[in-house]
Amino acid sequence: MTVTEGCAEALKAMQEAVGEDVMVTEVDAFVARCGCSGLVFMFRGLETEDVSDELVKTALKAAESVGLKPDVVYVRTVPGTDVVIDVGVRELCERCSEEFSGDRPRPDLRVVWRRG
Amino acid sequence: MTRRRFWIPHPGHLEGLQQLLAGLEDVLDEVEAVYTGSSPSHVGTGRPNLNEPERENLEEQVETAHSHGVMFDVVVNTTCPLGGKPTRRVLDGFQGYLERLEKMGVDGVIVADPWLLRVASDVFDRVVVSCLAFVNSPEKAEFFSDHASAVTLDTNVNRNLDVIKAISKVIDVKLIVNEGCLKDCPFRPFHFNLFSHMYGPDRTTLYDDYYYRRCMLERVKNPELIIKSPWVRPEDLHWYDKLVSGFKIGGRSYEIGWIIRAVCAYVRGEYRSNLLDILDCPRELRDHFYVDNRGLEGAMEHWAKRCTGLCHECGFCKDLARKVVRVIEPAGASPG
Repeated sequence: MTVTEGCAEALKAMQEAVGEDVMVTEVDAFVARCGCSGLVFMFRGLETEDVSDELVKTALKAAESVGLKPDVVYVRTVPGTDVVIDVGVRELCERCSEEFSGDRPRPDLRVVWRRG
Repeated sequence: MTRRRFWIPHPGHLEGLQQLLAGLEDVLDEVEAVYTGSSPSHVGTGRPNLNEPERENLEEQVETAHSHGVMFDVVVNTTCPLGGKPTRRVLDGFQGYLERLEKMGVDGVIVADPWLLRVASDVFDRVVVSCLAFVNSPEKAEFFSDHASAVTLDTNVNRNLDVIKAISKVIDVKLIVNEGCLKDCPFRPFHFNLFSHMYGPDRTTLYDDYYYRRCMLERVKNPELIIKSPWVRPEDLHWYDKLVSGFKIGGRSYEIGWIIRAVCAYVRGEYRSNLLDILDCPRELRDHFYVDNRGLEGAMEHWAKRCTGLCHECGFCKDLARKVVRVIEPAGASPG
């Protein structure tokens, strides 16, 4: 499977998971300079209360299908609001593991799943 | 040894503060105060503000800090308070906001604009001049000394101990130690003005940030600029013990785990890895460069005693950069 094929499948699965009231606009795969890697799902119409177990499971499954071993799933919001900008599934590098501690490492980030 | 007092960043949310104070339990005796950005609905600040402190139970946060023996300050260092609006309307809004902060138990504010500083001094006893007022001489400090309780130095004079000594005779001095910005940065006033609009009531948005891109471009092309940045290593704080009343650690937009690492390094006076890990600089910079902190031992002696600031005639920082700065191999680049 190519990167774009993996992202396209992830986008389709996520759109099915969140339903028609929410738009999944883009799925990006990334490798960061620090060593982190992951997928980012971008949304329109999603708020933090809408982030369901099914959404998280879908994000994890999509990440695993492209070979990632996720450490966290997190939600990034518009500062000061519950409006979700994107949901990230991330395999963390050593340094970011330390920085990404707690349920809200930053005011605009909420960790909704962490490897046990 | 002089007891050091630290002023530490707080991103602004209650869970974050609780995690921060718990993570710093062993060193809290050295922490004078936490500081966080003001609410962007009321007034802008000089850094990205990722929350709305009032919405985030500010009163409870203040109580939490106080219960740990730590003061709670709010940064209101917009460089453009009027933003084209009538002075009286801005004044009323600002006064009302400050009075609400004071009622919530906030201990002090950090202000850049001289007019806002005058207004703030009617509400708070603890009013600290922001580094964005660019106080770099005793003469300039005099302008603020009637209404401010302390000044945060213009970081460009961080390594000029004679100037710091002279300013400290006028007013209490706070020193930002983990400064990651360019020395004599040509973008600085304009970049912070942009932040003041982006993270203030104007809610200005922009497609991209020229100042940031240029800041990164300059350093990627000339790594010696990383060495010239006016940071102070944790190991070198002793040079300032008799000159300043507090050490400020920048980084209120960072994750809690990062803040704990940086604060612990400075309180303990030691960091054994990449200095960029604890500097308040763009994250991309520390992902790209490794600056061996051990290799910087002794550099402060040169800056304190022999630096003239005439870099084109010297070359000390350029030579040092060749020795201690290296590019990090991308994490995923090694085969296997």
